[in-house]
Amino acid sequence: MEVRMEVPMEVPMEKWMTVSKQAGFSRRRLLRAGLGAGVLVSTTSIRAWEANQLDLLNRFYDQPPRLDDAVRLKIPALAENGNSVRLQVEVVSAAEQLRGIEIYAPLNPEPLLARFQFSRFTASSNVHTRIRIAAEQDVIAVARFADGPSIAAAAHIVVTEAACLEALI
Amino acid sequence: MRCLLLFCVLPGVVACHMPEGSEPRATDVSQSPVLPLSGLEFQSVDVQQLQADDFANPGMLWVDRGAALWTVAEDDRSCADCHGEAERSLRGAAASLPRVRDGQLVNLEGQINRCRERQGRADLAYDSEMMLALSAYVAHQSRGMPRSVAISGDAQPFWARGRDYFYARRGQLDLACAHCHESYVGRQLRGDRLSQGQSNGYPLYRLEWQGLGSLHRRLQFCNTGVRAQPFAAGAQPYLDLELYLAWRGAGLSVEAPAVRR
Amino acid sequence: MWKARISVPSKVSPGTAVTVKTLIAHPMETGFRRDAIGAAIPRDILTRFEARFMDEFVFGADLHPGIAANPYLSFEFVPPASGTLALMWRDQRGQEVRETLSIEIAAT
Repeated sequence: MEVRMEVPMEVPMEKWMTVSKQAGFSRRRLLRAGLGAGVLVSTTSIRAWEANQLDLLNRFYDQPPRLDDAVRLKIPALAENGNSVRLQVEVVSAAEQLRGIEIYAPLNPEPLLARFQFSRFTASSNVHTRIRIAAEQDVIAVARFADGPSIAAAAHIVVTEAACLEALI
Repeated sequence: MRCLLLFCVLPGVVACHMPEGSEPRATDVSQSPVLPLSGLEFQSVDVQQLQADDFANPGMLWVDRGAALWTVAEDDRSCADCHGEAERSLRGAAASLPRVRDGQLVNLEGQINRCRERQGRADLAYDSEMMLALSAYVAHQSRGMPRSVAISGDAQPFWARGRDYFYARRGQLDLACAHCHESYVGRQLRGDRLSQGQSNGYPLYRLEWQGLGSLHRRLQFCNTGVRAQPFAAGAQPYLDLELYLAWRGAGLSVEAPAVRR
Repeated sequence: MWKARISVPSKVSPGTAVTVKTLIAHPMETGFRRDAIGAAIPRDILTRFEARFMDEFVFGADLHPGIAANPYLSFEFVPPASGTLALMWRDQRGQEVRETLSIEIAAT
């Protein structure tokens, strides 16, 4: 199962080379296959909320937020381990009116992952953290404002499972 | 449920794709049978970047703890009292372990415990918080240095037993280390791309463990993965294997604390 | 108690954004895992992170079990003047870890 994605490398692979050039098998093939895994992708990967997502959002908000590109949510498209997945979120407009950002993973045992609050000192709403993902799903970021309705973005993530599971449960 | 699935899937994969006469064999002693590739090259970009980030690498939390413990006196004596600054005195120490001392094969955890015994203190368990902190701190002082262990003379019998362990089938799945880590390197095993099983990153932060762990903990996991009875951490078979793995990965840089999935 | 790593430039130009990176050692035990004999491992998580500059609230986060173990958090702010940045992590029992550091605005 190889995942090929046409996205730019964030860190040159040459930085990690610890061996000579006489690799016995195609290192480039290996690197290309690994390229797609783990690179942050910024997309609103859905155009409209699905039913289960609406159920979740209706629990937390008076009305479901509108999907908007102003919310930039970046997570890897493919994560090797669901225990620790990099996440970056930012709202690129009307920063002064921004009250908070909430992050949800609807298919996690507890869907609300975090709430962030900002102040007049925060330069931007750019927040980086690492989250847990229980299963393949859309991660949702909702931005709340002092004035106006909430807006949101969703990004899809696939989590692969280890070959040999340490815990038998 | 999951272990059943692995039991069903894996033998089928191996039985169908194992070519004739390609049973892994021990090879010439003079050089490693593989061109060493660090496990880092088999990780996703995210994991590679996390390892490279000296601030965000979670393994550095244990290195910090080790640095703090280095100067804490137990019974009026701290590590620093004898060793001074670890950056100077222990640079390169981890890169040449395990080695034979007084007829015994000693790895990093073993050497830390030998020091403790000399001070009249109790041994630390391999994956205890204190041992992880100290071993991460000491191994970290050799980061970037190539590994180089002696396998001749006193070390030869240990190396030979480690090599035999690496090529011996074991467990319900009847697999040797060499099946995954030599014959099928680079191939996909469910979500994982099989690495060479190198040990140059230990002790390392494993996302699966959500914490730092020793090589022996990983070897126990490898054993349960093929449904073989694991040994206790520090057991002789693991020490012998550790020497063989260090020789097999000669030239790879110490990466402690590495990050792996 | 829990060891924290903090990365902040100690000297900044006036009006520039400062990126504050934090990493703290904590298992963030979710409460959903079970041990080898099937008993639930109790929840033990950090629930709150707060950053204050000269006692004024700058940035906060409510943390839930879905935050990864050994939580990494980074945010950006513009310090209005030289002063002390106070960071606080609190767990579900109300225990706290506090760290303070100075940020100096370099004279132009």
